[in-house]
Amino acid sequence: MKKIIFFILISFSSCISIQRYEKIKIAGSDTMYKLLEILSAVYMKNNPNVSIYVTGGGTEYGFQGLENGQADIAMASRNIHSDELKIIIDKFNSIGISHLIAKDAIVIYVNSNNPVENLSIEDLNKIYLCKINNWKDLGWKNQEILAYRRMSTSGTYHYFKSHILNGEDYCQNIIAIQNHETLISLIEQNENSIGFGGLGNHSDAKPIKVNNIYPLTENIKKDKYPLTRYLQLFTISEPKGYVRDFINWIMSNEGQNIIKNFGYVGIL
Amino acid sequence: MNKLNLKIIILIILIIKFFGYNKLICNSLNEDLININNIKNHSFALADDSMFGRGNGQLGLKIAQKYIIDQLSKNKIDKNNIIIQSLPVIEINTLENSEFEFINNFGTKKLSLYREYYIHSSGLMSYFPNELDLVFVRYGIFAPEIDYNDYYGINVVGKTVVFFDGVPNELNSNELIARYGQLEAKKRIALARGAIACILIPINEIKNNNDWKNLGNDYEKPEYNLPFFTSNILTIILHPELTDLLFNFDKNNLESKNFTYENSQILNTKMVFKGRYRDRSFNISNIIYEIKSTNPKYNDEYLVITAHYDHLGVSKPIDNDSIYNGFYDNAIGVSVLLELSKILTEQRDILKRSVLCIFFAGEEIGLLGSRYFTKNPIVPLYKMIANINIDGVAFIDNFKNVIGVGANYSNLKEFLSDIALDNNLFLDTNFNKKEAFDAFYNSDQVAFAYAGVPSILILDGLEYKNVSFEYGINRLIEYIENYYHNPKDDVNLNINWNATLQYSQFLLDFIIKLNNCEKVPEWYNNKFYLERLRTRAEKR
Repeated sequence: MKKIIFFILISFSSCISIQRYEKIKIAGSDTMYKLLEILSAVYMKNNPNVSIYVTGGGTEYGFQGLENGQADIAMASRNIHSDELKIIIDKFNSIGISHLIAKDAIVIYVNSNNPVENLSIEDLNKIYLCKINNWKDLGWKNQEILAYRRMSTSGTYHYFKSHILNGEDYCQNIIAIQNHETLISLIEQNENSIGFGGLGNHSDAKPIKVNNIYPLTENIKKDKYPLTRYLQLFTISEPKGYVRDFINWIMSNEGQNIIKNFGYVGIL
Repeated sequence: MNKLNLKIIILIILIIKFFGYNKLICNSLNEDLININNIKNHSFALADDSMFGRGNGQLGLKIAQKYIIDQLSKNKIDKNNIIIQSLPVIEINTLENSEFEFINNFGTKKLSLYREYYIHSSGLMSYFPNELDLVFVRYGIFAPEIDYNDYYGINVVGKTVVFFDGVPNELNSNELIARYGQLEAKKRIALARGAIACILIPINEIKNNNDWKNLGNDYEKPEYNLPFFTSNILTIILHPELTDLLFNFDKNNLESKNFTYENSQILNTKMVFKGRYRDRSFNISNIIYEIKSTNPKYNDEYLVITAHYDHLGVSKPIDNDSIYNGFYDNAIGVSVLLELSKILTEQRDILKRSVLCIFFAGEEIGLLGSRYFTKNPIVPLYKMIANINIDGVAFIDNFKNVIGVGANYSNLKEFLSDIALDNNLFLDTNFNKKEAFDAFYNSDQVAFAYAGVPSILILDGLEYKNVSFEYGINRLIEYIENYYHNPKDDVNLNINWNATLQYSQFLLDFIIKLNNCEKVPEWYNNKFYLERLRTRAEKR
């Protein structure tokens, strides 16, 4: 009898190990959402026992996800704010770890029919503070400017606000769009529109020069393009197990090649 | 040979093996096997101008890497025993057109990078265009064990904290000074309290403008990091001469008549920081050389011997010389490790445990090579019994005593003391503990300590056979003032190779005895590195 129970226990435990799978939850930056989905798909193909769930919503949601246990990894297109970090420290007694995985740029997009090829930082500042409201002031036809921005949960929103608007608030006429895909499709539908987003999101909207420099890989790598930043994965503490393995894989040549093919600038 | 004779021979072998084996073999190893000419030749090669100062992210480091691999390959071993561990590094330069301003009712003061402030860390390219509140928090220390708190009753969330260097009188033990005196510790405290940036005023360290300019040797350079790092914070070092400017408004303000540096308080001055940066990434490599012991019971345990092979490369010229050759720092240390690796390979049959000889890159830019290795070790950390780091070999004269930097934290002190006696040396324990901690903190051995592996840096003491104590001290001062991190640290530096030979022989003896001892080093119970053992135990 004892032998039978022992046998059942062994069989049962082996069943558990066969069915066992690992789950990694990732949340945060919309800029990084598509990229992480692709990286996750390739990783899961090579590691069938791992399931990775990626959700967007903005960098702020990523940090909140870490705080409330709904995410193992936060995708962040900006640095963590000090008040967000304090919550993590108070709750987990850890100051967190940033893993830089790629370099990105804030790209300014206009409609493909728009002949404007270049805007200066000052032009952008004036557009988003509603000091310039018409394309004729920027060398095109007499048509009102329809400017889009991201929601305040987005890291891109904050980066643009600090680096272009010098910390001032966007003017009230600027339309807030929930995610990057919608913003790009709206630009494509409206001739007089302008918006901004990350580099790696391929679209039909026309990227333009800033301060006479195109957001090309070489220009971003050498910091010639003025609006560059790092894309980060943020964990509460040193990652362990498959989370660690996944991040290490992203930093491997294979992971970095996927990042480069997607359009971002790799770290390696 | 008859049976009785055979028994006697076996008995003699056993007696030697169990009672005198190590000692006999080790002593003879020391005397005969180290060839100082090999060490000299490697040192001259590594510090040659053709290596361009072995700078991280520069061509010279790759040339040095090839040289070291070529030398290791001559050790007649399987090439698989050499592992190249490549690690990516992020370099961030803060540009001089960055804007840093103080704003108060007296007006706005724009500060000039390098002349009036340095950037200690950019907090991953921080950019704060909005006015930030400044809060003075004395020394920026929170030490709950002695109920000391510079942040008591002050909310710093989203604000910049301003603090002095050093520690208050209340922190009167070396252990507390070691724990809280470092800027890194103060930054972590500021982060944990929710601060957004730090301003350090080094009123104790910087006494005049010359001191300030010397600080530029460390901070007029880019900031380096691995692509993964714990959260960081913008940290600005402010010229102490500007202290008055920062506090004047509060000192002169009628409402703030009670202002004193003794109290933490919110200042009436605010700041803006618009950082401009240039960044890039590049790869550097650690070279790991494994000498596998033939002892099946112990060969899965490792003694780790390390030396960094990077230096400062081609940088700002001094007296028309822009190649920082790093002859003493650390071409000679690397050369000693190359010679030790050769001997240990030849003598591997007497090794109880295996040995890892690691040539680290990235030491000069924040111990990046060793930090990366201890996060990504090629064998589990708990299998490493100890780390012996080589960074500064004997070069003045034959010495009578040795110093174990970090020895006080573990029973490596006892090993060192015993083995020193075997070599007619004694262990010098009469040195400033604060200085000793700084030395321990400033080279690759500390990365092992933080990872839970007992570690030590062995230096020659200051009692010499042929020269006086004063002469030795003056030579060290001369090196620090005129040669350390200077292009003049080149092959023309006066080295007493007999001293280097004695040091290498002692090190070889120490390595073999430590490696072959039944007992393994352990942290002393009251040392904070012990906490890391729990992590090691978990991994086990």
